[in-house]
Amino acid sequence: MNVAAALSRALPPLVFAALALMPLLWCVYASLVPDAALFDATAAVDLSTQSYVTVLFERAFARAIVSSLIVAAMTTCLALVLAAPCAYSLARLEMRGKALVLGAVMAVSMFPQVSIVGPLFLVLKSIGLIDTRPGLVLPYVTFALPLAVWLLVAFFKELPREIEDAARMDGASTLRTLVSIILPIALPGLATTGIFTFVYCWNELVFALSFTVSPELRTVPVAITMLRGQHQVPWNQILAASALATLPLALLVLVAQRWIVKGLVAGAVKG
Amino acid sequence: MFARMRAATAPLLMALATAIACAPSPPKPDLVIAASDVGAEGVVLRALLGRFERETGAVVAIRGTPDAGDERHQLYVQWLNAGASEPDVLQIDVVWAAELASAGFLAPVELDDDLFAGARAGVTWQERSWAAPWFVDVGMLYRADDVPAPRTFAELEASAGAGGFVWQGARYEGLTCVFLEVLGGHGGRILDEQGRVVVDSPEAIRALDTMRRWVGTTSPARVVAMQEEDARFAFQNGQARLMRNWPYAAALLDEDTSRVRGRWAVSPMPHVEGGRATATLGGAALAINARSSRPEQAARLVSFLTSEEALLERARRAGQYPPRRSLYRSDGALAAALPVDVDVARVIIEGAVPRPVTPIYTELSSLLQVHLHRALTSQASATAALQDAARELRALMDARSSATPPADLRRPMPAPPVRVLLVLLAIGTLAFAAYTLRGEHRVSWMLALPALATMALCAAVPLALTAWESLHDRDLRSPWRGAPFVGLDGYLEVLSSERFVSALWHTLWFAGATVTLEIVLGLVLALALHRAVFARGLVRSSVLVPWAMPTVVAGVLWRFLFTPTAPAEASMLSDPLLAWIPLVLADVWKTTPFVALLLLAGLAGIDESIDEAARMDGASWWMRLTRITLPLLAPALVAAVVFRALDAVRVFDLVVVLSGGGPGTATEPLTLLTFDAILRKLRFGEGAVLSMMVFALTMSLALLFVRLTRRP
Repeated sequence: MNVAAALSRALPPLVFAALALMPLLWCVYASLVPDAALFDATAAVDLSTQSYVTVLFERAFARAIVSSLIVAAMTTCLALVLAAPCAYSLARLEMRGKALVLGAVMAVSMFPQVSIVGPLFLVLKSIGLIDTRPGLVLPYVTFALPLAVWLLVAFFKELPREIEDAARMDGASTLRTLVSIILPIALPGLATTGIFTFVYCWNELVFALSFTVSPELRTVPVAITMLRGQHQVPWNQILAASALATLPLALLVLVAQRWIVKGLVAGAVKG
Repeated sequence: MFARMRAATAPLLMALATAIACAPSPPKPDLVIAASDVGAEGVVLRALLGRFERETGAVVAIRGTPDAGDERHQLYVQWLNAGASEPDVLQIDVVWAAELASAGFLAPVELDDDLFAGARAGVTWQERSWAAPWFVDVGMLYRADDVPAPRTFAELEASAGAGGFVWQGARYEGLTCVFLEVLGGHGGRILDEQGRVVVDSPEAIRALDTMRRWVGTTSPARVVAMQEEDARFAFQNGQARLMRNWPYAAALLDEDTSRVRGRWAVSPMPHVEGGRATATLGGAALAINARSSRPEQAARLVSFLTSEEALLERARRAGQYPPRRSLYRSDGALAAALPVDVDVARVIIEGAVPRPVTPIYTELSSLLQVHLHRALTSQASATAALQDAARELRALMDARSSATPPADLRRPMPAPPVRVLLVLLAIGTLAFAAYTLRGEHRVSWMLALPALATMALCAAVPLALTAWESLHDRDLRSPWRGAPFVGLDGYLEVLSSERFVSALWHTLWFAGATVTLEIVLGLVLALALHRAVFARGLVRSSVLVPWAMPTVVAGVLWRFLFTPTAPAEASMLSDPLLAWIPLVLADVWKTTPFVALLLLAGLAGIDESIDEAARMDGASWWMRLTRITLPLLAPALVAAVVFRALDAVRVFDLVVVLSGGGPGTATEPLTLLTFDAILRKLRFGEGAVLSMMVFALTMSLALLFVRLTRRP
């Protein structure tokens, strides 16, 4: 293959990548520019990292990042623990009313979040979970479950049946077959599901805003909304916070893109 | 084998255990105040509370709430509606006083005589005061100090020149405030003394015509997309010589980066010859939760925080105007504390009027905003817009004033969580039923049960509550009416409303446009990525970044990209049709990568040899794409369409941040209408109906897709 042909193959993806990243790079650049100069094309620009220092330490954004990491990690673990057995039942076992269960699971993902927030607040309050971490994790798990179950069902269906049958012949229980045979092989599927759940938790605003009050529980999107004054909008702080909020996800995606794609191959196509 | 299983589950169990142990248990304070706790305001509040604690021995905790009005309002409504006894004291926007009082959320407060008339009127409803004014916000005219203070609108137009006057013309609360000032300057009002709607008076039409005339002449065309900060930057960067804004801008105009530092002044808003300078009165007040377990202590805290000394401290450190008239003396401590001339400030506040004091203010204002904005963006004439507004406002007032509030507004405690208990019972029954199953059915139900129970609690219960609510007409602002059963009337009313129908079209059109674009572009991207050999991982990761980015952040970014910086440039967001461009673009940018990856996964599953064989037979590239690749890719395409369509129909965050549904209601989707009904207007019944509609829409879309995919 000659150079020109190689280049013509390499170029379009690189253009796409650039298009995708451009607004983000611009965001990083703008976060370094003082507010007034952002709205004035003629102003001289002094780049400064002051906004990052302010956001991280004075506006307690560092704490929000830690808090978001904890909530997202907890949700991801719990969602996997709950979704895997459920998906296994749906994918592999005989189950009375399977279609109904599948329908119910999908229906959960179809309700607009805005309208569920009020009633859910009442539910969580009546079981004493308002303004606690579990009180945020529980709704997150609920709304992460449909996608998790769906992806895992597709994934489990792909696995060869022979190994399971062999385990059963040996007298292993269903739970044990699942935990020690299926899950280890299904690791890429679990990873994909975990990443999707993590991203969802990291980005969610409406629930986090409504169900947590204490500053130490505030997650990243809530912390971003707290940056706004009643009238004043400190743009470069907000943009700095946005860049900081995207950074962990960019890293995650960089490390995990192979798994995301792999999981999707199994999940989306044959689901 | 068993050891391996333990190794796998142990970390998960530990994570769970820490999760439960991590639940914080802070020490119990005597009083809780919900207020802004950031920046200078936070500093001064903490200092004052420290003093209060030393004087009284009470422990006071601050519950920081966002300064953005909608978010704070939403939090308060949720807390108070759930019957919480905390927070005891709340920092409220003055325009919420009547609404929260009518819902029975607030306890009345005693006010002394040393207050501006407008400040007192703003918190007085049904002849009682419901909150203590804390600081006042007034609309005023900022001008470069070489511009003489314009007395009339004609003088203002003369000294502004082309595009030299900026104000808040976006469709949001700020627009109502500016209109109120121009209206007052023309001698008009929104409601008359008897509370009748007079917003279609000749004065009002002249006022709106004046504002319309400004757009594109005295004011830049993009003024119809401006909020406070857009106006401030235009003014401080020297693009405009005159600006209508609130007091907060003063301190920022004197920062190092400002080009007008030390070279500006304020004066009252102009008026017509023979009219009167009018300022909109805003600001914050402190209210007491009707369910506070320590009402006397709460009242004491409120009077401490609104004492002369505390208000002066606040003015000094946070630059906020005290509502006490006696403090405004040119020889007093306030003169040194405020960044503007204290006498000018007094004159402006004395001429300030509160916005209509009614429980339905938010609804009234958002209705008005829609019609004002339609006029400003040339979708309607001033006369037509105001006649429409007046008609709808009258209907609204009639519908809401049929029942009069009782003397005692305190609400009965909400019913104990019977419904939750019922659901727990249902889950138990389900568990028992699963237990009685035999063989594999039993095992599979047992495995599925934890997940199903979680979803039942957090999704099925709220869904059932919403369905039940949709059959009742509950309006939080008139709780004494109860929640009468109206059956399907709520649905009929919503279905016949014009705004619903257009929101439905907006939703479908947005979903159609974005999904089509995303599928096409996603396919192109997937094909390109599929063939790529060079830096594949890097390219994949970078296109995934937009997908992983918080929607709020993406919205902020795109809003920023579409905020014009040159004075003459018109904003796309102020044109009813063009406003869709940033919305669709942002969504396409954010989710095309996801679609592309789904399709890429599909491409990976296609057997290369078929394509190869076709190429050998001399099939063209296009033939191979349409005859081989696409048909084989069909399952992945359908999955992508379903995913995206269901998401697009429920678009919310993006629209809120980017266009707010404007201009007018030109980009308002169903979810935003729902949000408006529940959390801004507190019409829970109507909100529940709308929620069910969105649910029905997504459900039917999903079923449609299922049917379509089954056929072949």
